[in-house]
Amino acid sequence: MPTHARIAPRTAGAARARSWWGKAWLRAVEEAAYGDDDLRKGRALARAGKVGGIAVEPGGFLASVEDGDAVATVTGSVPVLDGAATESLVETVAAESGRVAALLAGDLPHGLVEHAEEVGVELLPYGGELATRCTCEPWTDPCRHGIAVLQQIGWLLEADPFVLVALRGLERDDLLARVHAASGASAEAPPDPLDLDLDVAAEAVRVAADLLTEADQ
Amino acid sequence: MWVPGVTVTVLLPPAGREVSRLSFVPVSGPATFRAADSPREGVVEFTGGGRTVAMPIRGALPVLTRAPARDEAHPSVRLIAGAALLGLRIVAAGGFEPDGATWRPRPGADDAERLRRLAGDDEPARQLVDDVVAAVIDAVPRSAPAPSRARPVAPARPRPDFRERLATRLRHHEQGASSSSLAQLVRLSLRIEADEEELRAGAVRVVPQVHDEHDPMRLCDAALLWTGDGVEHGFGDRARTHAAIALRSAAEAWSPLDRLLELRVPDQITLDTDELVSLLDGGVAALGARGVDVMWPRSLGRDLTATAVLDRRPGLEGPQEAPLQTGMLTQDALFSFNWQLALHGDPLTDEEMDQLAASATPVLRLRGQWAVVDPSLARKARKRLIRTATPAQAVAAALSGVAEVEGSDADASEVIVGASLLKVRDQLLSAVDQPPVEVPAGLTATLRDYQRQGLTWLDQLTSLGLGACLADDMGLGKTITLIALALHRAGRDGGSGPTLVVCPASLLGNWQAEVEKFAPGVPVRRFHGSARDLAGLSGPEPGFVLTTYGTMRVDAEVLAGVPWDLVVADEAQHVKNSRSATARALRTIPSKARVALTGTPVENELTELWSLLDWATPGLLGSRQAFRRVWAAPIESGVDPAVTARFRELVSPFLLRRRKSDPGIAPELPPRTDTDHLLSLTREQVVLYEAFVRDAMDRIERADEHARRGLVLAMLTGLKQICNHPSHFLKQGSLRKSSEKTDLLDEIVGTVLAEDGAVLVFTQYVAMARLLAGHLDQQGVPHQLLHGGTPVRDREAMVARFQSGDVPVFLLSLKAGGTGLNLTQADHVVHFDRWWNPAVEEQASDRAHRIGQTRPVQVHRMITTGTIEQRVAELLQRKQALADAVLVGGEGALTELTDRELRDLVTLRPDAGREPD
Repeated sequence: MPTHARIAPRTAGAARARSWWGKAWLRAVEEAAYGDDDLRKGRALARAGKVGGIAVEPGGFLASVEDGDAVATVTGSVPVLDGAATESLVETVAAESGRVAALLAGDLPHGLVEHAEEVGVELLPYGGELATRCTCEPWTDPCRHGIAVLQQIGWLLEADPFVLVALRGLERDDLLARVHAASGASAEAPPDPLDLDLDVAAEAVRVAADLLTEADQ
Repeated sequence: MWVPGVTVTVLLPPAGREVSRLSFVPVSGPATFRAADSPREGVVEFTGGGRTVAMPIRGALPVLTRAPARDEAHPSVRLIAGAALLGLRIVAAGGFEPDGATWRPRPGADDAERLRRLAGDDEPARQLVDDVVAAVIDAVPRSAPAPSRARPVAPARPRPDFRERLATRLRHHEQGASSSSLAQLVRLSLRIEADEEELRAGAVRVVPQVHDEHDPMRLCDAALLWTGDGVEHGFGDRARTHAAIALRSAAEAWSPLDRLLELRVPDQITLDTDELVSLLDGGVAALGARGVDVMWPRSLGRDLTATAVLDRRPGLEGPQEAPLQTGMLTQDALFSFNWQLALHGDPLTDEEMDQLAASATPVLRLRGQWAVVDPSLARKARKRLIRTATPAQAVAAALSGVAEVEGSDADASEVIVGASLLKVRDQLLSAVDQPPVEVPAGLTATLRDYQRQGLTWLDQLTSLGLGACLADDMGLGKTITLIALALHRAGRDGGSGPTLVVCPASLLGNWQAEVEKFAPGVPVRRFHGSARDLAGLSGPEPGFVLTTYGTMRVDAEVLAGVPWDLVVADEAQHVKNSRSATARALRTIPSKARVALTGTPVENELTELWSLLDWATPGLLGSRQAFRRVWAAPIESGVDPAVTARFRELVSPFLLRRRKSDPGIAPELPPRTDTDHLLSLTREQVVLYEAFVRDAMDRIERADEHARRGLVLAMLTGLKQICNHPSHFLKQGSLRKSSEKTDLLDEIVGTVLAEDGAVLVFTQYVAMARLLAGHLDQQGVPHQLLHGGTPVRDREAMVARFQSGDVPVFLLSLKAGGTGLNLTQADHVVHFDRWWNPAVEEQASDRAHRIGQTRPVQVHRMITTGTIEQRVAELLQRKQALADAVLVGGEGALTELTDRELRDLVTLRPDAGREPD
């Protein structure tokens, strides 16, 4: 299960969502919350960096939250896409050559999400789809710990929309491999996203070596 | 050398632009590095030669890697360069990894050690080195780490460490495992295609294609990369993703490409006219900045260029091929810069340029072919006149190939010189080699060959309406050459009008005498003192008017009312400061031609040269400010030797300087012998000298900054007086006793009298000259004394008396008698005391050693050993910088010496005193 590093405390300004999908996620969290009090406390915990590393897996997440002297552990779930919906999502991403590049650049194109909705795939959850359980045995679901974790997941998926796709059951590598297969005629090995960096890095090694050779002349 | 018809660039040659640009980056001054939030966006700021150049770190790398090899590199440049090289070594060794959106170093232990060694213990230097290394490491990879910014710390599937994987990859590359490692990293380019039908509609297609990053010649269409497999397109399985990323980046640069991103297979899009205009107008450049080239088919006539052509204004003054007329460069001649468009180098006709200007779309048919025309070119075709130019500006551009073309586009960089202007240029460049003009009939002298050559040159330039500066060495006969020029001009058709000579007062007589002697019958009058009559100048025999700079300044308005044919500024260094009242007054006097005469070299003092040439040929070198910007600043900073060379090409046709030492110039001059007489001090002089040094140095060492300067100058003066003679220092009315200097002078005077010769005695002190005069009186030796206070009329009488042989000894103060006078009667020249500037002494010696001299000339310099007279000469030889300062500023520069240096300079050396008899 991929785990994201603990997030350092943020100011209120830095905690606000900037992208349209980040805003949509945080609106869903607001919908899910029972009352303003939980929401306020949950957000405060998130901003104060009280949430530990967040593990994200298809359909769910797990994280611990420090609250005073106590530590609460939150597990949560998001409905995963079924096989047909997954196919549709892959097809939607592959339909435009710019979409993979946009996702890799940390962008979730509005057109992609709208296009997916048209074929019946809801990528962004609504409030009722966000379910959490917490070791603090709360009266309400989500409790302030759950809200803190959901809030931070919002930050994660704002920076990397693949996190959202992963929550919906499709991990980044799988998505890329299936898009790759779907967009072309060939059935090649799936591209490892880290290999993209490796390509750029290997080229840089070469450029640096050339510059050094020039300097010696 | 500059060849007719060849395009000359205004700023930088288009070919090899990269290299010139890099060598243009100054590294001699302190450089700074400005780190940015994103390390790759850090900026290096270079300074030097009065310029500042800021470059992003990636662009600065080629400068930095070469900087350590450049001698002039500033230590701060070396530090940044060292850090950059360290960064490059870390990258080359694969010691870096992605961290969010940044490539970060993973320095090994030895890297840390090298960092420390580079920066030492200096904390700011360490920070600088750290910042530069971080910037280099982030900037060398062509793009930021591609995937998300939120990378899981514990990924779903465990992978080997990035560095290991990179090392493995690099090993693969080294082993040349070509078949298994198909190219992954691709560069994007856009190919433009169009068929006849599309062109008629003003549209084209954009077809994206990808290139192997290492081998740009290996390419395929994006369509094939998306639909084919590796066997078909030859690229690796990640190439498509890299291509998509590159495409997205290209669309950020130029938004119409967004439509390609919306395609499942980005094979091509069609651009309408508006989009094509947008692509041409800024899209190509924006894409280029992201490494995306746009490729145009040759059939689309993209080889369309614009050059600025400089020539006579078409259509204003009859046919352009009219024969070159005398005075074609008169002030009312009009020139202009015009855009000339050319297809594959063939100039377009005016009709074709009109058609191009009128076209509503950038796609049009030109000479039976389709052409895609940049909007900037269309604008040039629409407004072809760039600006008008004065004749002087036109000549300047033709000579130097440099012109400031302020068009609507900054890329207006090429100037072509038109046919009629080329003729002028050739005439100018060959002026000095033209067959010599006939010596005017009215001249009762034989011109020497080089004088006739000078006359021819002056005639060529002045008849073109241009001014000239004749800067021959003194004694080569500039006066007679000018008289010949005036007579020659008067003898031509329509060449009428008087000649005005402006000169120092001491030369009025010389000019009058030479005009009367060499042009007998030609009226010559003075406009000076009480004689200020300009009546009758418009008659058939206008002749010469002689005036002084002082009178000219006061009466410029009156003088400006005369239709002068020629105005001559003799000893023109008097107007080298263009802002002085005299220079400004001189500029207000109009004439058909202007000639400056000077015997001092001017070509190295750029501002003075500007003043002289801007008077002689107004506008040639542009305004003072423009001159500083275009010429003086780049030349003085010494950045680009080509600028200096172009400047020489520009000014050399207007300057003629021959030296006496030049072969064939003055072979008839008899030999000259220079002797330095090393003399000792008398016991009285030694005592005086040492006591005065002690006392003066005491006061100097105690003086504040302000008083010090005056004290130092007073001490130098006093010491030189003691060296001359104690009576000089003690301000006595007559010489009591003798000094070795006066003994030697007596000896020389004795020789002169015995041989029936004549001697010039130069001293810089009028008081000393008076003492010597009294001394000569006592001995009954006829003599005369000329100094700054001698009235003009008396001076002329003195010169005449001396030249006639009536007076064998002529005492002159160096300042009053050092220039201009013709004293060839003398065969001995004595420099009684030292003037530190050899050029000044040289000019004084040349009063005797000049044309007209028939006997060998002996020059005697009197130097007292061990004293300041000898020591300053040594010091100046040793310290070139100080010598230069003294040459420019005189003794004042010596006041900058420290107390210790000063004491060392003035303390009497033991070998100074006269041995006890």
